[in-house]
Amino acid sequence: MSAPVSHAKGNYRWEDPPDEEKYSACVHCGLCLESCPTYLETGHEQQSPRGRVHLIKSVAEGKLSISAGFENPVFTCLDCRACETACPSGVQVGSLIEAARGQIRKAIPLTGWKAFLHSFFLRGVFPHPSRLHVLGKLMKVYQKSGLQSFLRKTGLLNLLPRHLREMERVLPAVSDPVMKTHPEVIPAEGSARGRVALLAGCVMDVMFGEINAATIRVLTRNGYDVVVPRGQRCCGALHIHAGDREQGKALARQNIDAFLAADVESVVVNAAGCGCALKEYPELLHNDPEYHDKAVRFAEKVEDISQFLVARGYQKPRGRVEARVAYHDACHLAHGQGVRSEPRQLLREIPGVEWIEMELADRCCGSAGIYNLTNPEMAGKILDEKMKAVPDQIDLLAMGNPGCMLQLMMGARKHGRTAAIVHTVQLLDWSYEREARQAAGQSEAEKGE
Amino acid sequence: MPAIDPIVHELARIVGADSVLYQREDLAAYECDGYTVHKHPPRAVVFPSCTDEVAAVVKYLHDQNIPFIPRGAGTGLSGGAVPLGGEVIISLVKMKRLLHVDYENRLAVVEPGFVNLKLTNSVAGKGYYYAPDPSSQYACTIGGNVGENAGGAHCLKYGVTTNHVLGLEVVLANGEIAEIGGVPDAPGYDLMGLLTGSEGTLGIVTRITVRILKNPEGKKTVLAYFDSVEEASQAVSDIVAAGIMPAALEMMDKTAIEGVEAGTYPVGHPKGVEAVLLIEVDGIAAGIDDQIAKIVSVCQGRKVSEVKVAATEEERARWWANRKTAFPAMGSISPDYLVQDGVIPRSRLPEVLEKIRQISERSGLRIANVFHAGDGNLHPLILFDARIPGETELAVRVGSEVLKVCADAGGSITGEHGVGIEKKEEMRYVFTDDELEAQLQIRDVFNPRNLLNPDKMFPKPGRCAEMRAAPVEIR
Amino acid sequence: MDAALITQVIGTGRIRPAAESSHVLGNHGSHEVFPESEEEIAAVLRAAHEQGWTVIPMGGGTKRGFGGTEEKADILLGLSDCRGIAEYAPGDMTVTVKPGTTIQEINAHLAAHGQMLPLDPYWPRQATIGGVVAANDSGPKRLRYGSARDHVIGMRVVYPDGRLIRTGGKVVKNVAGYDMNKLFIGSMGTLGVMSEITMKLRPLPPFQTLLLLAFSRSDFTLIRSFAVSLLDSLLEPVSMEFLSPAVHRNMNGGHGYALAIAFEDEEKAVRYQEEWVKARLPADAEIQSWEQEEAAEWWMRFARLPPSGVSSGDREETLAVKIGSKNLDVLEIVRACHDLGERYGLDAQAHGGVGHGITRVYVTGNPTLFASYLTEIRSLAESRGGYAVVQHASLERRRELDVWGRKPAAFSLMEGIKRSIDPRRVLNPNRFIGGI
Repeated sequence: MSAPVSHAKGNYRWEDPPDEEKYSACVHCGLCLESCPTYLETGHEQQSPRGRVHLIKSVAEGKLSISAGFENPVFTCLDCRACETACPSGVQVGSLIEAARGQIRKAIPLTGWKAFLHSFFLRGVFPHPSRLHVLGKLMKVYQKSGLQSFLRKTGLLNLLPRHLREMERVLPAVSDPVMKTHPEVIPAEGSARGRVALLAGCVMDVMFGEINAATIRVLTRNGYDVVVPRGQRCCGALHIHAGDREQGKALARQNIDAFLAADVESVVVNAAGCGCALKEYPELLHNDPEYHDKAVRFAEKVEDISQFLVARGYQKPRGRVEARVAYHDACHLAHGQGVRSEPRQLLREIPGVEWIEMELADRCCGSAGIYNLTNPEMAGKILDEKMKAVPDQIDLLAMGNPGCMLQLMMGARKHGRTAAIVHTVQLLDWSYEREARQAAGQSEAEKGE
Repeated sequence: MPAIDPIVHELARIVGADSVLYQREDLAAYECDGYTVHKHPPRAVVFPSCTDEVAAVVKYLHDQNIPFIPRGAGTGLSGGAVPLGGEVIISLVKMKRLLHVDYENRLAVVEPGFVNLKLTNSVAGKGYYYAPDPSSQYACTIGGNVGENAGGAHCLKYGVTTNHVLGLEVVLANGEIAEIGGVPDAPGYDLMGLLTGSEGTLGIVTRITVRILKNPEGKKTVLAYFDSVEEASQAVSDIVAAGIMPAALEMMDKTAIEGVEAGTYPVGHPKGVEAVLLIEVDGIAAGIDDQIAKIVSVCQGRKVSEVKVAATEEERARWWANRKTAFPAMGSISPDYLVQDGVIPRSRLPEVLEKIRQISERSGLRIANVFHAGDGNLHPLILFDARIPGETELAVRVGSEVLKVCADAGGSITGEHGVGIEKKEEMRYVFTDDELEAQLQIRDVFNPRNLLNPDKMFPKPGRCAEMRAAPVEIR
Repeated sequence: MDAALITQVIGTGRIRPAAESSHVLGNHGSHEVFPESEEEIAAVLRAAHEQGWTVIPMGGGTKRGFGGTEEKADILLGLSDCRGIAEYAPGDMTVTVKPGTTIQEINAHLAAHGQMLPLDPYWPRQATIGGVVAANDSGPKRLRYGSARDHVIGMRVVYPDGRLIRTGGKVVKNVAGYDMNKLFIGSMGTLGVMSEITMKLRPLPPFQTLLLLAFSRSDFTLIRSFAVSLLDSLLEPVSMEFLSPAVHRNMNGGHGYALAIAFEDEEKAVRYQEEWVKARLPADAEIQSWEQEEAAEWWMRFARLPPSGVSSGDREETLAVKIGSKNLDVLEIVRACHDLGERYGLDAQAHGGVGHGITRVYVTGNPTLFASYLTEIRSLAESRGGYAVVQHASLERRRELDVWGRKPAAFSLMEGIKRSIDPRRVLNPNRFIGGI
């Protein structure tokens, strides 16, 4: 654990301490308080954005040491960035939290089963697409072999902690990852108007391969050649959130190389958390002389799928999707990337959609990466609060992040809701598909005449 | 691990273990409020969830002679909720329910931790709102508003918190619970009026009945840019002289404009203007256009460089967000700022601003001015960098000088932020020893042991002043 | 007391032997002293404090029948010579006046600059600002404009020991220290003598009208729902005063209950609101309207409805009660005041602000019935969380009635305040609630 001493700042003694400019910008006004899910839940200042920033600053000033009492509030943060939207001084709380977590993990390494899980999943599985795919296959086997229903029936699953049990119940039917099912380049329908890359993502591709497939269909339908670079890796957001900055940086470098080599105009992302992380690579690699400039070039190309379609213009879908639809703002889209209107526009323009604007749509659902695994109790309370805002009478709840989807599937089940949880791009895809079917039907009919 | 303070167990017995904070790191988050010049952690933080718990906590602390401080969201700007050493903070944020709304009688009953803006949001569906709108209304609590007698941008026409409080339930210094007010002109001395704005030194409010108002039928907002502060100030006086009672009349000077444009809610104020006025008129729609026409013509008479009326509600909201976040937005152009809260007769504005400019020049610290021009409440924001040794002290001195200028112009040292820690000594700019003594006499009636938020609001006894009961010894 | 001592503290020209030895309303003094300055007020009070004299301050004398069980104090401190505008800054919309200035004088002065004191207390020609503030008097227009506690921003107060204290300031927004103004508003002169009062002003409204809705059938369901719909509308009435049949008759020769609705605004806005009301008139209501000077004249007559301490000699013995309640309870309370009058065979004129919660009733007839009348009205008010206070009665009556009603919560704090500021009970002893 040796680090260049030049990085030392108060009681931060490792590389990448929280940036003084960033915590100095906080004037302690408190306008962030009501935006913070953990503050609303606890009422405790240390579990609020300005409280956390204050503690982060206090450690830098040498007034506090890196202790369990510091670790708790810093790791209880959802990193949802709602406070950044609320903050009038533009304090980048998320970045401060991530840097502080890096320091904490150096000072207080994980031990016991937490350390095991961490190194097994975050270091052993997520960075390696092949191992992820094996995991996916195992899950598929689990679901299809009858083992899932067997275990559910026998009650053996009850041996799992409650939150894992709840999560197990809502696991989507796993489909094949596009990294396996699709070629590296999928050509546009008709003549190509551009060439883009897709970040397949780790969880997304394994758990929600179907959404990636839908994204590819929507992009090709709109005239783009889609590259799914084989060299891409997990975006590293989970690692950075967990304080494992080294692994995060390693993944970042790999992705930068893979995507820059793909020579595309845009890197399209359909997972809010990943998109946000990619856009923040320049900051992550700020002191990497070799990669910083590349990271800037790369980050400029990153766009959320909704942002990409709305900015470039897209074919308005004509197939009807008769449904009452509400939208949940994934934190890392709304607060992290400022993307709010684009997904709403995509959804509202689908014929047949009855739009219901949800109250507190941009309040965190509690998923927050793997927060619902690491802090299940708090995540559960935040989910309950979120579910209060979800209208009863909707058919579909759309969003742009796989983590949120899993969490809200759990929420819907727990609260007895019937609404289906979908990705924004899936709805668009369905509409296109229906449009195509209708067109096919019509031409059949025409032929028949 | 240091031994746990024995009072923690006692407090936990009253409110439950989850509702007492005592760890060093947790307490560190409570070492200041919106005023960050002074910092000191509390002895513990306790979170009662109902009036009886507040009363029990207060009684325990009273019996033990332990000083305590009520705290809401901690957005105060004068250090009213900052411990000076050894106080227990009683946080009211868990008492955050809206208990009752009575539309026919136009009142709402809330717990002290209920957030200001939530009240308006809760009654907006029926066309009502809660008038006091401090800039921190997104987060500040109504209990805190009562403690500070909070104002806001719209108090020229609608008054401040004290004009909207109809009744209070209060826990007194010894833990007794009293109901005060409730109906207009309740017989007896106006204790409600005294408690409002007493900065937590006379009691802890645990339930508040406030007036709610019907939304005005019409509302129009005007932005007017001026090339000189004098012309803008004259325009303010002319508007008032024209018989118009604007709902809000706000001014920002050049440096303040720079700040808000660098903040989260820029609206594209033109570069180079010396002052902007934000003027809002509300009331019966049929009468508003005439008032707007008068305002526009008054501004034109004062060489306005541009004047425009908000075309949409969205535009209006954007202008207000820009103005309301003016203080924290200074964080974008300066690492630290100190906001002052002087009040002056509005006709004296040009000369006061000139004196402030001179102070800024002499001290080398930039000062941005945000001004509730309608009611003469001036917020000079003194920009500084606490990392530069001595600059915090300089900023504090500059703030005090600015307040002296306001006091000398026939004004006051605080219009809405309260005295707190920050302006204790400046109380002498506006009050004589006799007058301070008269106020302390009142405090002694409510808070004879000086346990409630001790050492706030009042200067240290002067040489001539009678020595008052020394605050309780603090371990 | 030793009368010679007074002449040592204030010139003999300021001292008048009491014109009569007693007054039917009490609150008299063995000596009447009329200071002309703050220093003279202070000198009198300092002497009183030292000598143990009692002092009753008085402005125009309109509230002489309000509170108190004392025949006379040692000194009746007349403030009518402490009068005039001390400072007026039209650009700041504030005015500072001396306590003996009448409301009418103040408004006449302000009107020249297009401004007004937004307070419409009773008997404005006689009532002085000091008395109005000390008794916290207000009229129907408080619905829109508020009461003294909303307008007073600063005072100079002479404490019972002669100390001079300034409270508040001269700016419209001020939270430096405790809001000490509030302490003196409505304190019935038991804590100090105001020597100067600074108030916020408002621009004179460009146009005003008064609509009088007469409800001949007295259908309370209809009246209530109309009042509620008006209150819930976007209109901005400055008053919605509900009048009992006797007041209605007295003011306009009308029958049944009536509602006096006033609008003050730009003419277009006033007209719009008038039309709104006319379009939604309840079935049994008839409407009359007055505008501008005629409306003002109507309100001037209205302001002379209650008994006044000055003219009480010429009038039949009257009991005036102020009842505070929630806004809409006013309807029931006005009705109860009226019905109870009929039951007791008393003439009861009652009116109350539907949007502000203050009802007043003026009762004449057999004075021995006043006590029962008061008890019933008070218990009704208290059952609804309100109160009833006697605002005017003869001394004899006040001694047998309970003027203030039960002690409020936190009364011990009120006693503590009195003890702390006026330990020798110089000022207005026994004039206020609970014997303060």
